[in-house]
Amino acid sequence: METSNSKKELSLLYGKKELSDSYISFQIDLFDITTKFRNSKDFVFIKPLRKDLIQNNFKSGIPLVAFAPITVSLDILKKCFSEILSVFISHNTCSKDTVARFKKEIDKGFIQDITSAISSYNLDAIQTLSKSTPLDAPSLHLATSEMAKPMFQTIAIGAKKSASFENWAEGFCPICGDLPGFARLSKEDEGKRYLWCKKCNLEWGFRRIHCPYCGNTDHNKLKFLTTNHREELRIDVCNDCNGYTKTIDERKIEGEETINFIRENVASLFLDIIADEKGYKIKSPDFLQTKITFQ
Amino acid sequence: MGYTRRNFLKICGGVTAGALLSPLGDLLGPTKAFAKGLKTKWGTESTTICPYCGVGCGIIVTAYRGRVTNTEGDPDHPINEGSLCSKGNALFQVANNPRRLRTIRYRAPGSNQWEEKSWEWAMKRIAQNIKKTRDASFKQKDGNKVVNRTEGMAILGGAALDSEECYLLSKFARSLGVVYLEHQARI
Repeated sequence: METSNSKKELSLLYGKKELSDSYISFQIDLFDITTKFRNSKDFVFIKPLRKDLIQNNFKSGIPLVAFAPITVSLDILKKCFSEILSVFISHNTCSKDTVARFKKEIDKGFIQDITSAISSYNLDAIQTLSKSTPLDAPSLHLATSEMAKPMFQTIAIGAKKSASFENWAEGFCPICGDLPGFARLSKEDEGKRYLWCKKCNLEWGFRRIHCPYCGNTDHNKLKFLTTNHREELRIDVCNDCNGYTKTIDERKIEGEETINFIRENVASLFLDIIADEKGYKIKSPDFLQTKITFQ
Repeated sequence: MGYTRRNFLKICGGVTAGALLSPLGDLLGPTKAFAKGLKTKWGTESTTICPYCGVGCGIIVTAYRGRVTNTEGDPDHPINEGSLCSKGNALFQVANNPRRLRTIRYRAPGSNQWEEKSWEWAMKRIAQNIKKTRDASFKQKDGNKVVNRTEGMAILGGAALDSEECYLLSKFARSLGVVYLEHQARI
């Protein structure tokens, strides 16, 4: 997905009644970091793989990080994490002095541990690692997820050159294995659903009447919730696993505007609040064995 | 242990949005207040097959509180991949159309006026006509062959009937001895 206009698109959200300006500027600052580090020289190295090996693994529903040997630079990850903590400090989302001190003390071992934990969806490890930091577990999870974005987006950009995701039919991302952060019902493909990975900024097609999290296809247990604000937005829920996906129906938008997932994900924050109130959850894989190594 | 799609799908965990958003604290204040004031409504989507012809296009039916609000081609259906003909596109009107007749209308032989009748009257009248026609046209034998049939009437199934309704109609027709039995859709 094209992201070059995303900062401008995010800036257009200033003044919207459903978002605080400080939240938008927080998101823009994080987006700037992703843009800055994505595609950094010597950041990520993916060992070239045969096309048929990639396609066979994709056919079996195995995401790239689980079979492709990938090497990532700890120096760049450390710089990225440090800048994210600076954003946290400047937006008062954590205790300033203690986090500023912690920032100076971060070593490569810690960066390797949190990167391994976030790449393999090991939430218990993040919980444990947070105890050695002034950040609580949700804050460390958020900071680490943001740190992983440029890494996964660099991997996704590289993978797109040699692999096709057309036949990928799973509910999770073909690159990082994460579950979708957003979806669109496309205007050009007769309402076909495309899921979007917020980590890799990548989209792939997936069936409509099908839960991407648990595979449920019983339409009696799949529902959607709309509000009286922006009728093109909705929350798709599964009453079997209690997961939800925010969805935008492009057909309800006038004009030929392309959906910018990064903007829509921020703009639809009110749907996350509603989903949370109704007891639905953001789904995450529990564990994924990756082939990521560090240098 | 080898990593497969099956065990991957089985091990999905969940985190509440509230927990993930908790680090953002005050940044969420206006959004929380905004969300509180919104009206919400639940909808459902279910799949069906277009009843009109033998192609068998897939359709997604959207409903709010059981009331159909939209029908559209199913983009995941292998036959039509989301597209529909003009008749299939108008399927919504099977459920919603203020111009559809909602009462029994009867025009007597030779009359130019439509009269409104009750279902009870209509059922009785149809039964009487079927019996009268059957009695007048029933054939027990064709030469020496026992046939037990009526050639005085025919039954044509409607395109919008589902499999179970077609089965019942067929059983009913054969019990009367009807041999001119046809159906429009052949799905």
